[in-house]
Amino acid sequence: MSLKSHGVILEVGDGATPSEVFAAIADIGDLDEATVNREVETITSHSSQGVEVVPVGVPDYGEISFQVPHSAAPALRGLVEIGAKKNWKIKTPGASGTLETMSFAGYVTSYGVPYTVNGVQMANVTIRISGKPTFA
Amino acid sequence: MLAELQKAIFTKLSTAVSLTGIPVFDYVPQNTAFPYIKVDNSTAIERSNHSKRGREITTTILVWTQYHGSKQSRELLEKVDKVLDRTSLTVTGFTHVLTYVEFCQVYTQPDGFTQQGVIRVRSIIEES
Repeated sequence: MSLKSHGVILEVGDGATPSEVFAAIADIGDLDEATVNREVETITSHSSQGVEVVPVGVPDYGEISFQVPHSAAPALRGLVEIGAKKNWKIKTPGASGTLETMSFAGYVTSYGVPYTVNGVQMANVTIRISGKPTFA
Repeated sequence: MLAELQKAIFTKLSTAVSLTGIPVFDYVPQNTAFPYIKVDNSTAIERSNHSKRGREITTTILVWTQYHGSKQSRELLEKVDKVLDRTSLTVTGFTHVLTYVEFCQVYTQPDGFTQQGVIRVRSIIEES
């Protein structure tokens, strides 16, 4: 069964302990969730019996990119400047309620706004995931 | 969304000082004297985000004149252009982001006398 992707919620934590409070970032547009991958290195040698030998590296959860109205999220640009690691949640919609919550730590590594003549001030934001996300 | 935007454009044109004396219609009564303006068709395409509905709407406005040559219709189109291009609109229940003119053209009708000016504006609105 296919499910719609409309209704994704991206939340950022306030860093408080022991009970961190997460707030949704308003009006986010298209969001590309990270692609997990492992680097592959070829170590094929003359003694590899004529086949490729490719041990894999550790998983890398990559980065998240999304669009958001510049007016709605100026604090995200500040996170690039100070380099603060934040806790994040991405809640994907299910048939009723939340289907899955991806929790992860990461840095906002880029924030840019193209000011097109006939467009809307939408910021392009990238979050680099650090460590291993959890899925619940 | 379409109806509220149409009302906003209608109001903007009807109250524009530069268009004083030029009636603006949604429905044009029979035997209406030229020149006049008609707020005509609309099309809408999806422009939502994950939390709010949004639309990108084009609205066609027609300018009808009867005049020897196209001078009057061109001048009237220019006035409509100045009123609507990059203007702020009050769209009840929605946030108006942007309106701009994307197309203008004047057509001579088969009688060789009546001129139809077409101006199309594109608007972006979001739920408040």
